[in-house]
Amino acid sequence: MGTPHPYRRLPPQRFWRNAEREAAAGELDPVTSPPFRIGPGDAVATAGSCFAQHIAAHLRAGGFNLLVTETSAEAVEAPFSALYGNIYTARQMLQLVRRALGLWRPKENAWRRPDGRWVDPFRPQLFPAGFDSPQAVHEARLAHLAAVARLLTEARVLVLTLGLTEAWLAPCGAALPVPPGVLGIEEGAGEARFHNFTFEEVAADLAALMEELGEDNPGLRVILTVSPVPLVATYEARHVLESNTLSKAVLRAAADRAARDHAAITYFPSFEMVTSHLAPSDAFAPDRRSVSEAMVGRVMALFGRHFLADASGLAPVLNVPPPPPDITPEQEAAYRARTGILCDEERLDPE
Amino acid sequence: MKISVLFSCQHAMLAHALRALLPGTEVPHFDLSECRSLEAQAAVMPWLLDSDLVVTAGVPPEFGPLHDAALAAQVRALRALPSLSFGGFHPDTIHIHTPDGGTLHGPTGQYHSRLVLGAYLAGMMEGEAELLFNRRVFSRLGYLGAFALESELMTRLYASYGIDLSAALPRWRARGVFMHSVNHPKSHVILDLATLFCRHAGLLPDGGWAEGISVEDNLVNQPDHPVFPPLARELGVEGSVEFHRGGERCAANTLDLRAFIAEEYALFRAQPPEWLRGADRVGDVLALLG
Repeated sequence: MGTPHPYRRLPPQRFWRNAEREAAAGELDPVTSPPFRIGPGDAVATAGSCFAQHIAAHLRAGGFNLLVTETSAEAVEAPFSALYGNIYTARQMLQLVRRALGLWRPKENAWRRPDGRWVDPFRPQLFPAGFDSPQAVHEARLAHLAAVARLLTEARVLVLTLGLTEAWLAPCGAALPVPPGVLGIEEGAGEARFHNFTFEEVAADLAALMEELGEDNPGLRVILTVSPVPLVATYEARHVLESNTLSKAVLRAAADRAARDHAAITYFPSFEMVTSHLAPSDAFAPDRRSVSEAMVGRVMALFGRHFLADASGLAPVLNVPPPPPDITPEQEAAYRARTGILCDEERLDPE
Repeated sequence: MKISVLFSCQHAMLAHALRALLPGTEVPHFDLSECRSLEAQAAVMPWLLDSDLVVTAGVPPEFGPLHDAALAAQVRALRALPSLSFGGFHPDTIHIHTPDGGTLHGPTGQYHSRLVLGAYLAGMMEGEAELLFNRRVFSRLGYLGAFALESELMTRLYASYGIDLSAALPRWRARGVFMHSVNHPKSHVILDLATLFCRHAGLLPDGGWAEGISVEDNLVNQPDHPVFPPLARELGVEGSVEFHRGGERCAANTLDLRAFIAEEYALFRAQPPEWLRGADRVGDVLALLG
């Protein structure tokens, strides 16, 4: 007897001819059954590149609990869970989380626009009117970071869309959504340098991000997607098509690495649905860059079919008691000393 | 019988508990923090000499004739019982010692926040310090494991005095937050502790807990810090970010996190930094903040 054909008993989803048949029938479904379902009461936060806005809008329209912890009449109208604007790179997301947890303070504070108004370097286009002063930018940012912290704590699910690998870094290492020069900003802006994140860097940033998120909110599930929207421009000395392919390949590979390494991560293949050979001809708008409304609808219908349910499928978060501590002599001595501290307060006994 | 209590700020509650547990017993009680002067020590001494038993919180040598070793030679009987300290609900609360042997007083009396102090020393602005009260930071600083650690430390300490807390601790835990602050237990805790002490001293027979007795809680209006939400969620108790200045529990004596940080920062600005840098494990916060 020979070795059994290893592919013989695999489900149809594993074969291209089946995928081609599904696509021809308009029923392409590349989603592998996710390990959880989101109920209408489960708070879902979204973040990432511009495709994340589509996901947010469809969740809200579908009656699901899109978690929003920050709004402002002064901000551009967009379905952000908090007013961070688009987050294009994994580094940008990691730094946002660390800033919200108080664990990182970039030196970049405020940029002065040519019209004299001040903007937040981390969301420079979100408030079209800008701010009066760097102090006003700082105060708005503190409220914003507190809102992000609440978001990270309250969310049961975070849908994170990876958008770019090409980025501009401030001298302090802060990943910027755009370099200041793009906005005509010179005053108050440090020298930003171009950086194209490698697979290793994106994978490391996602691992670090999961460590931060997991320790802040142990029950959080993350749905990772890669934006199908191509680069609008590349700063690399090559054709934008080549840069786009590399950028998306790096993001896709890093997302796979993250999903393999972290049980809390599930990958949702919206990128594949929109950009593969099997995608419908109307997947993109006439500009061949924006995803068409029809295609967004199909992607989100599949998202709904696989992830959304009438009742939550998310397991309750169980507090695991920490293991019995190993007591050091120093801890014991410090504790004994503490029992000897006397209160100097006014007399406590009315007698 | 007369039992004198020479103890920490828990002296009154302990005395009340002993009176309730041992009807007919006279229990004068003295706050050790008020016995620093020779005059005060001389005033207390006749009461102690006239007692059948003196209970102390372990009086250190700087209290002269009241020091345990000196006192034991003079009184009829002396038993030491550690003052109860438990930081499992308030792992961020610290005392800041001053060079004169005292402690720095701020908006919540002797209690300060390690995180706020660390943020101040790290050069963070007041608003930035607010961000640090999250689970990630608590986890990194060991706050989430503090309950288990403090439980073990407390159990070991009392065991070394012959008092077994193994049944008491789960009983306290079942009643939620059993401490007002790190060194201010709620009255039911002191009542149980007094029960265990009396059994160990042969003043009460073995038996169950003293149900149906309540002891006036005279620490309830002292300053305290809240059980912060990230830890409260972990412990299954109600969390808060309201700090109590002391006195009646009303809005005027309550500080939210922002106001508390502002007053702590104002206090810290007026202190020599070297006083502040030596505070308990503030270096851990500075290391975390880079």
